[in-house]
Amino acid sequence: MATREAGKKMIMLKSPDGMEFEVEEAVAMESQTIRKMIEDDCADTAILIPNINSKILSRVIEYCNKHVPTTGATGAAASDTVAPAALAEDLKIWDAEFIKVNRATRFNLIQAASYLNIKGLLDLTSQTTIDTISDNSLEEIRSFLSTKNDYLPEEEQTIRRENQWAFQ
Amino acid sequence: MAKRLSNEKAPVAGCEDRLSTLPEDVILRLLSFLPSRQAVRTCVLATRWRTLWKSVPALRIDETESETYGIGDDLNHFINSLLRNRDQAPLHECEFLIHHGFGTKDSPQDFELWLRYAISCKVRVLRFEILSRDDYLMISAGTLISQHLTRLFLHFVGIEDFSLDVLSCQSLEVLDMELCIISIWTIFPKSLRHLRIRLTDVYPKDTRPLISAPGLITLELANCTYWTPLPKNLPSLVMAFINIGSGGMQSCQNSLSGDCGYESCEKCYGMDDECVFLEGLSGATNLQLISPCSMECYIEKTSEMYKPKEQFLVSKHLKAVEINYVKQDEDERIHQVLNVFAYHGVHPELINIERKPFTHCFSFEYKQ
Repeated sequence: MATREAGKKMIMLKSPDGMEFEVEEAVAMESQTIRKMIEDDCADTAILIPNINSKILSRVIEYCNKHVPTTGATGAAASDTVAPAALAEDLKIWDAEFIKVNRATRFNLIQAASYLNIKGLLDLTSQTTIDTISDNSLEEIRSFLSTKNDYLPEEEQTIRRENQWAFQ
Repeated sequence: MAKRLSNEKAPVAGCEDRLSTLPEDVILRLLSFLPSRQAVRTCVLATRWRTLWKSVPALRIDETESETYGIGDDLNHFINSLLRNRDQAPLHECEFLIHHGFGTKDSPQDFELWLRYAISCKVRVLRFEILSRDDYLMISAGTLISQHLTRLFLHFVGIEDFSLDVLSCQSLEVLDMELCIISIWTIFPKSLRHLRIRLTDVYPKDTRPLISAPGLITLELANCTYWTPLPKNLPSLVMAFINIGSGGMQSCQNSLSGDCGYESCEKCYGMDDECVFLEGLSGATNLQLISPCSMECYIEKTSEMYKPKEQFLVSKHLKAVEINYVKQDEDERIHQVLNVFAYHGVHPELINIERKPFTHCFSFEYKQ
């Protein structure tokens, strides 16, 4: 593991429940939302992340810490790093462990990934959600998203007829 | 004083209707991991869902689709309806994993139409795999040309005239082909990072195809027929796995032993420099070579008549060499291999020799 170099720029992230997280700027910039803030010159101050509690925020930071690129811009500094394929495999295994959380936490992670705009985390949480919906049945999807059916019965029949080719 | 991120669109904790807390693009992203048939069926969930499926940025026809709903006309009808009814929304990903049984009615024209549709929707990741093993699916050259394509996976596909015009795919980063028929005649685009060619018929038959890819980081060539393409210009290469397989780089059609008797035969007698194959891999820091038979001939010939113009660049990077062998009584051959390494200035202390009982291959590996 690379040791933390002195002089690396740190950013303070605050959750609404009052917790503070000091993270490297590069780690925080895994979030496109925060990256934009930093690039818009708000970098020297602490950033308050509304509505993502400290428990979820700490998991998000954990994810970003793992996924921040370890090599230089070109990835050419491969001197004593593992081969790229092995590195990708390692990340995959780590991701699989990371996402072993209950449904509520996973949903909160989707919300956080969406709000903070972290594509990798959004894909991981979405993929896992679909994988855990056994046989992808409509009722499972409905229950995961807590969606209420607001169709009138005849309306629903019409929709089914419209898209009959997908219900065969 | 802490700066505050804008509250707009911020998630609301503990909200009853989870759906309303997610922006539409996030829901579409979520739906994009569903098989397409299931994604369409979400139209009956609620009024808001009625047409959401039409903008899902993915098409997914996986193998369970043809297992559950059959192949041939039924599948064609479903896919054609899907493409006709969805919006022309851009596609992040398109996945066709299809059992293409011999004698069924599905025609190459349909497949090609679907591919052209995906390309027209600026698809970035395209996975097109024919899962039956009866016949290659031939598609016309030019079908897959796109500036938006970043990853392309093909399985059991032949390209008419064998020409996959990848140079026109200026954003292509990953190219993965298995059990395909292709011709390699051009350099790969600068964007290409990872190339994998397995169990593929590589044309043209009469000249050795060269792999020239300035940005390539990993290369895997395994068990190609006719030719194992020759790495030529790979300045960025970090890792390579080459299994020469029975197709062999050193055996021509006139001889399985690697010596057909014609000195002009490039396959049996090599090019000007016998080590041209390894030279092309000289930048790699992690290299694995495997051969069941051809490499033996190669090594033998190499040690006897081998007069290189310069040392392998490979040897300058080597920190460790592992030689694994299987058969007993390999002393003579290993001695020859060691001579080659010694010639190139690889210190004997770096070399570890081990007999491995479980594989039938004679192989040797470089590891950094």
